[in-house]
Amino acid sequence: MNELFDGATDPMDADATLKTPTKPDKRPEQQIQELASTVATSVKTTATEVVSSLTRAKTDSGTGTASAIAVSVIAAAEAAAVTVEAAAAAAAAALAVQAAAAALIASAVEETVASSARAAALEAQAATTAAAVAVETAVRAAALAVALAERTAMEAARALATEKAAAQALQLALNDKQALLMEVHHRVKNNLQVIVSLLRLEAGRSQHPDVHAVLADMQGRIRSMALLHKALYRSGTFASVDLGNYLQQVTTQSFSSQSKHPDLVRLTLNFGSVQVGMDQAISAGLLVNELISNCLKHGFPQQRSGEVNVVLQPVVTETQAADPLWYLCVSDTGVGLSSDFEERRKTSLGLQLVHDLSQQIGGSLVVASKPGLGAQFTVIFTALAPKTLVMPL
Amino acid sequence: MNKHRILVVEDERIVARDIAMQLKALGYEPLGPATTGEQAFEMAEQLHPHLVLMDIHLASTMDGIVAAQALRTQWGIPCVFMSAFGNAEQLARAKLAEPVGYLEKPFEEYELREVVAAVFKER
Repeated sequence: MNELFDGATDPMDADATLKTPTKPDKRPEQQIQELASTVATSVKTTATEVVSSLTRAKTDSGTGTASAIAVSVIAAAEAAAVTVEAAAAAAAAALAVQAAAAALIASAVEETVASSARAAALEAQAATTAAAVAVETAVRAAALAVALAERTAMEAARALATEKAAAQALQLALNDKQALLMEVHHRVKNNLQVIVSLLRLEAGRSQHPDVHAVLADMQGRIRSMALLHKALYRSGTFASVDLGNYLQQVTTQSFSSQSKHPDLVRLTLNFGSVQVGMDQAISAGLLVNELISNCLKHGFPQQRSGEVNVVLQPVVTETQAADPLWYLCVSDTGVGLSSDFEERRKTSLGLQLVHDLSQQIGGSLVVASKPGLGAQFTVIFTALAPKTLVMPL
Repeated sequence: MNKHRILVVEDERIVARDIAMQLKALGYEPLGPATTGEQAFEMAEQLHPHLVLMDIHLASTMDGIVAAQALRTQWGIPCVFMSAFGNAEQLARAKLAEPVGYLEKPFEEYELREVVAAVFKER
C-alpha cells in the first residue's frame, strides 16, 4: 500500500493541502475530498491494470495455481482500492470536523477575547473614572484642608494675640495691685515706727518705772504687729503667712527686747509650718508677745536662771481633719504661778489679753503650773486656711 | 573723751527725735536732723560726722541711697540705712552705696545699739 502513495502528497497532511495556494477559494475539506478521490481513482486504475496483467498472465500460464493467485491478487487490489477511497473520505470528514472545531474554537476564543477585552476596557474605564474622581476628591480635600489650616492658624494667631493682650493687661493690673499693697505696708510700717517713737519719747520723759513698763509693753505689742507686716511683705502673698516663721520672729524679738538677763534665761523654739490668714496670725503674734512678757516679768525673780520654751506643732489625732488642730505652748522653768494668779488674772491687762486673744484665734487656753517648776500656757486651735485677699474697687 | 558724732537723716520729725534721744542715751552725739539728701550733704560738709543714719526714702530729689554714695565718695563717711521695707531692686541699689549697716523700721533700741556699736568697733 505504501508503495502506491510514493511520491504522492500525503493525504493526512491537511495543513500542507490547506496551504496550497492554487485554489484559495476552496474549503480545505473539499480539497482533501477531491484529492482522496483522485488517489482512489489512481489506485483503482492501477489495480485494474494489475488485474488485467494478472488475467493475462493467468491465461498465458494456463496453470491453476497461477490463475488462483492472480484471482486473489485482483480481489485484494480491488479491496485495497475500495479501502483507500473510504479512508480518503474519512480523512476528509475528519479534516472537515477538525476545521469546523478549529473555527468554532477560534470563534469562541475570539468572542472570549473580545468579551474580556470589552470587560477589561470597561473595567479600565471604570478604574480610570474612579481614579480621576479619587484624585479630584483628594485635590479638593487637600485644598480644603489647606484653607482650613490657614483659617485655623489665623484664628489661633488672633486668639493668641487676644490672650496675650489680656495677659499683659492682667499682669499690669497685678503689678499695680502689688505696688499698691507694698505701698500700704510701707506706710503701715512707717506709721508703726512713728507710734513706737512717740511711746519711747513719752517713756523718756517719765521718771516712774511703772510708766516705763507700761510703755514698753505697748511697744512690744506694736512690734509684734509690725513684724506681721514684715512677714507678709517678704512672703509677697499678703493674704497668708507662715505662722511658725512669723511667731519665731515675734518670740525672738520679744525675748531680746524684754530679757533683762539673757545670760541666765535661755529661749528654746520648736515651730512647725502652717499657713494662716492675717487675722489669725496677728492675734497669735500678740498672744505670744503677752505670754513671753509674762514669763520674763514673773517667772525668774532674783536672777533665777532657767528656760522659756515656745512650741507650735500640729496636734496628732487618729482622724485627719480638713483644718488640722495645732497647739501653741509657752512655758518656763521659773518659779511657777503665784498663789494670787487667779485674782491677778482678773485685773492684769496682759492676762486678760491672753484670754481674749486665745478666743480670737478660735482656741481655748489651758494654764498649768507647779510651784518652783514653772508655768505652762497652752492654746489648742484650728489653723484656718487663708482667705483670698479681695481688693475693693 | 570725744563722743562719736552721728548725723540723723530722716524726714519724719518724730522718728528723728526718737532716734536722737536713743543715740544720746547710748552715749553718742546726735547731729541734725537733716530731712533731705541735699541738706544731709551740706550738714556733713559742715559738721563732719563719724557716721550717718540715713533714711532711704526721703522727700527730695536726692534720695538716701544717692546721698549716701555722695557722702562716701566725697568724705568717706559711712552710712547705716534705715527703711520700712526693701524690695530687691532697692536693695541692689543700696548695696552700691556700700552701707555699713541696715535697720528695718520699726526697730528696737537694742537693734540700734548693736548696729552702731558694730560700726565703731570695726573702726
